Amino acid sequence: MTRMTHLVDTRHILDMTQPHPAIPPAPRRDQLLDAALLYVFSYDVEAQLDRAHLGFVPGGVRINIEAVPNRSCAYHVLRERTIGGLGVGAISGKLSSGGDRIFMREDDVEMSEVHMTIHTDDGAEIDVEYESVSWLGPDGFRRFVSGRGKYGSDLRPSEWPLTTAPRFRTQSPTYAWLMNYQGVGFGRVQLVNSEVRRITYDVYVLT
Amino acid sequence: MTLSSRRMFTIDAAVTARPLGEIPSGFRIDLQYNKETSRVSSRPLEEGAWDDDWPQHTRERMWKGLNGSVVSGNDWVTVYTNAVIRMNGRVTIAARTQARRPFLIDMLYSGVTDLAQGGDAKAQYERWRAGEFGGMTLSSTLAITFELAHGTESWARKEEQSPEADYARFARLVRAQYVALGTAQLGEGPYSLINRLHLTVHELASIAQGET
Repeated sequence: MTRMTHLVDTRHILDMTQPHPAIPPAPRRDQLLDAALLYVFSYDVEAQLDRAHLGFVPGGVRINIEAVPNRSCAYHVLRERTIGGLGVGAISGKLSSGGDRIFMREDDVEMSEVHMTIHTDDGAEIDVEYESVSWLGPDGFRRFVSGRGKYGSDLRPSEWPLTTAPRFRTQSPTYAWLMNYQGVGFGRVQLVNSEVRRITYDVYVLT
Repeated sequence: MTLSSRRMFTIDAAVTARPLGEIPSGFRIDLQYNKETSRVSSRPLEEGAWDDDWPQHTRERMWKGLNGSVVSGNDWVTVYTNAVIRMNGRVTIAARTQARRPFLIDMLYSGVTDLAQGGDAKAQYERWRAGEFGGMTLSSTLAITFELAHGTESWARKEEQSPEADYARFARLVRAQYVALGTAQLGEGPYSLINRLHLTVHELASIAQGET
């Protein structure tokens, strides 16, 4: 069973002083392994307009973009002060750095390799690393690369869905719990004139 | 079979280090290349007949050197508790060409800088944390691959277009394995953070027995 929530009580998972809870083996394998997604934070990345278009590489097009430092931010989408069920403070801050190595594939799929750092409001640094994938839609590669039939305008930006699986590293005891989890993110990339302007993610951890 | 190497170009870059802190395996630091002061140069260009081994039927054999600047560059460094600095970087180089627009080349690398210097690794790590390595210059070794645009499509917008001649000039960068030997200069202060990288990039080539 898979459930998505931001209110589930998962404190037992975080008690690292206790032995790892033994899970009895199922007598037979006739159901999916249990999993849950716990909402932890969201972030918006403002993309710099000055980007490096390498051009055509085998299988697609390579573009490198960077985040606008300190104009990109992390926040709790419901503006709550704690993460539901965990009893830990919500994550809020600025992205102090971030780089996205974009690969637009000829088969209308976009892949990204991202490194970024969140500087939280209480002074901690959280290092985030992930790859993401997004489908560009039918003939999306050609439409994007040709510049004809541009995606989005200033008045009506286009949005593409994208998914990712971030992992976290930090020195901060406040946020050390993040390192115990695999994250997943569901996002939207906002396009104006077929240029990436903003990327927004909701990040969950698998519990 | 023996290995030989040829000097291709040198990157000299001031870097800004941002310590992210202690993580379970060591210490994370982000290095950002300073694009205003970073230089990429093949001067003096290594002369010789070393284009002769490149396929004659292509135009990809000429090496006229790589001179330019760094558009952007980051190195996600981890200093491990065994006094090994693992480097993991990507740098976008703007190569000067005859075209009005520079030719962009991505350089992807990973490598090692040894902090232990033959001493006790754990003690050296603690010394590094205490900032006792300030002013030192350490040897770095990197394995490098490159990515660059090849050709174009008539229907593509101009940002994605790159002249075929530029690819031909730099094509050998994607067709061989490269290494860099160089130095990491450590600054004063806590964690003796890296403040400059000086890397000389070499192309690896194998020489069959009997050849010179």
